Amino acid sequence: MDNTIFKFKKLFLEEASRLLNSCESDLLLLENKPSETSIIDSIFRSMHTLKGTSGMYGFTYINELTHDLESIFQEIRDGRMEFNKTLFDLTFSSIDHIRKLLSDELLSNATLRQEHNTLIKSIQEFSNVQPLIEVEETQNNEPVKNETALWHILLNTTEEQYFRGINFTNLFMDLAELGQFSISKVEKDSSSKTDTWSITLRTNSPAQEISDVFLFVEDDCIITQISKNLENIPNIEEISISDAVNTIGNPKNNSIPETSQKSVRKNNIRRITVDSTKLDYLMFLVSELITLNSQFSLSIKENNGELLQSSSEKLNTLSKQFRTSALELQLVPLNEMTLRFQRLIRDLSKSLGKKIDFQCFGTDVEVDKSIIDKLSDPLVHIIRNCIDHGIELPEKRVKQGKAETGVIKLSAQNNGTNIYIKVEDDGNGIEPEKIRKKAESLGLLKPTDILEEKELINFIFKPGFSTAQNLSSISGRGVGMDVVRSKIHELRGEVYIDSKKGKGTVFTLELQQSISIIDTLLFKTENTLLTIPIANISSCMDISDSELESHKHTATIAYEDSFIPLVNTREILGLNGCYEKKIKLIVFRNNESMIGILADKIIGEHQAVIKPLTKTLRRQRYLNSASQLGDGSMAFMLDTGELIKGHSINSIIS
Amino acid sequence: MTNTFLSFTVYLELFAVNVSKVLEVLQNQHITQVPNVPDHIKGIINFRGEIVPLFEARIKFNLPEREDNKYVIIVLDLLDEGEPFRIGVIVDRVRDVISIDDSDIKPVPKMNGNFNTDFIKGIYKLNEGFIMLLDVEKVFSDDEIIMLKESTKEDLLIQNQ
Repeated sequence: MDNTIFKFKKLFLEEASRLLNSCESDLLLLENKPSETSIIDSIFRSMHTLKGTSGMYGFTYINELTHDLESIFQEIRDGRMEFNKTLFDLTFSSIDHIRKLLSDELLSNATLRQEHNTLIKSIQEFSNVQPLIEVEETQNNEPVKNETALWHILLNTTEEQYFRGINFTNLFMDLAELGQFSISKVEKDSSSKTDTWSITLRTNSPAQEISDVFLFVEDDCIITQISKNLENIPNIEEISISDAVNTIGNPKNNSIPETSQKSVRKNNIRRITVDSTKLDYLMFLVSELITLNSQFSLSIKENNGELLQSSSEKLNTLSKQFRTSALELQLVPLNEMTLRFQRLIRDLSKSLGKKIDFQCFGTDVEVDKSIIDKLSDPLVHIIRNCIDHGIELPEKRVKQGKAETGVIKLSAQNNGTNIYIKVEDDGNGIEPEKIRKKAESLGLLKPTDILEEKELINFIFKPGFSTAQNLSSISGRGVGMDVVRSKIHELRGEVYIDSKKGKGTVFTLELQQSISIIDTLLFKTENTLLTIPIANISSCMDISDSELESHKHTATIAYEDSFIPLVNTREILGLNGCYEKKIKLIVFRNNESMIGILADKIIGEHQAVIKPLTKTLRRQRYLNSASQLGDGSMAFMLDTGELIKGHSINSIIS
Repeated sequence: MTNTFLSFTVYLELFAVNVSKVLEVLQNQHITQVPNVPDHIKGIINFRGEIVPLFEARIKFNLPEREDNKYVIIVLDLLDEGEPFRIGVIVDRVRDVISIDDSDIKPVPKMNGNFNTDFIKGIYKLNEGFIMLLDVEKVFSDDEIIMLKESTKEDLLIQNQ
């Protein structure tokens, strides 16, 4: 039973964050079109659902908050109140607050409790102060008073409603506000899974308000007006709400065991929507696999070598198809993240007094969901940087002959193997002189060093490096860009930066579409098996030990037209022994750099199913994951980003 | 309350861990050595599709090194600050599954000297000696070698007599 409740609670958490997201995007829309009633209705509905379900699952604080908010929105829907800036901010901070409440429903954190009380207070103040002014207006044009009428509602109660978290207590409380009602059960044969209830309501409220009460069970109820304009409608015997609820049998609020809450804390994507054709294809592959399986059994039983050979080949193709198809299931469009950024930009630009237009292009590009989960933080960092350092204040922009409103552009592009995500702003750009000054003051650079502009700009990826003149709460605390770089490296990606002073800055993230299965080259030094992504290998060749000897002091080797740094796998992994006469040199290239990796033996291609190294082994600087080979042994994947960082020509010279 | 423990030997010492932490006891595994790691990490294995590092209990507890190839691996599911992690511990032999009542667990005596007793949750007296009930989370979340010397045992004897 505990498990069942836990499952539903998880469903609630998912549902709640979905509702909050839709609330948030609605609010952002509403801010541009404040008079759009359909948006207000949509927000109201989300709030109402959240109120109902949170109460049902024992999230009393969320229930309390959403109740107050809902009332405000009700007033707005009824035209008794208007949307204003204060309410926008109030609703936004409520949404943020509810998000926090989802992980700490009991307000065990003292500061959160404090926040909660302040928020509730300001909401109540708002709803108390506002109506006073507005109510007078509404009294002037008193709406047409509806005449008392008698309504009949047929309501089906099902188990499914219970799972959806429909709270009948709230429903009857709302109903009681409309007027008097009575309820009785409609007798049916016992085999029926649903119960049907007949409710008679005497009210002077319009039909809309009645159907609003039944909004969440609207598919399960029929509302009909049975009499109208009757002065002498017989009084319905009043019944109390609790009686009504008891009659229907309201599901009890169930508390969730403490221990089960831990696993639901992370805000990662847990549910994804999949194109059904992808699933169909996967099912087709499964059927192929089953056929193949029987073929295998047969060939082994009959000891038919030829058949075994052909089935084995088929299996090879099939597993590749499986791999592609399964990877596709994991892919999620980038759009899932953009809402967060929109909100971030809205809040930050407001607090800094800047005007910013956020544009997205090509964000329907699909990325592995595990990447999306980890990509959000770095992108937030970058966008914060654009807002804080990049885009100038409106006055300054006008002075520089730019449009008052700055633009931050997020675009994504897929070139088949890699995904490029670009964040561009048309702001101030990075001033190389400032970077230089800062780098010198930090002792990273000597005044005599000559560096290109691009190299200077790359200094912002150094830990502890920030040129922001005054530290704001947004960025400029010296953590940020180096964290961005290391996060992107964790995803086996790379981040590039390009900036023109006065024109703007472009951050480009280069990522692989999937990080769970990679085609690699397998090679060996001593007994250690190593892999690197095959897509980036430029060439493999033999060099002689004498050739290596002659380059020993520089640790570089001539390749094509330049010298490339050598990576001695023995040295970096602390392995014993020495290289034979013939040494394998693997030239690895990514966008900007090349390195030559020395190894004993090249084994061949290997489809690596990547397994992250555990916590205990994470101190490994140059190894970032492992994968299993056919014989059960494990091969380690070299962290090429780290290798390049640790073996750049610059670091050798210094 | 009674808890169930899995007891095992490392060199001449007898230890036990709560069975709720134990996932499986393995033999004959293909161990892949990892470069650049402390001595007590013997390598990694692929356990149910996950990479699990192996701790050599003899080295971890500063006991004489293993000379033969007779060992078993106990795979444990642990939590470190709420984060689950999995490790394998190489021990000499698994002995028994025993039920121990809380009231029979003796507290760890204060040791003279600098011996680290943090890693023992308690002591249980058996006919033939003592079983040290390990606080496995503490034992395996850092790289420190635990000093377990003869005097520790003597202290235990004195305390529990």
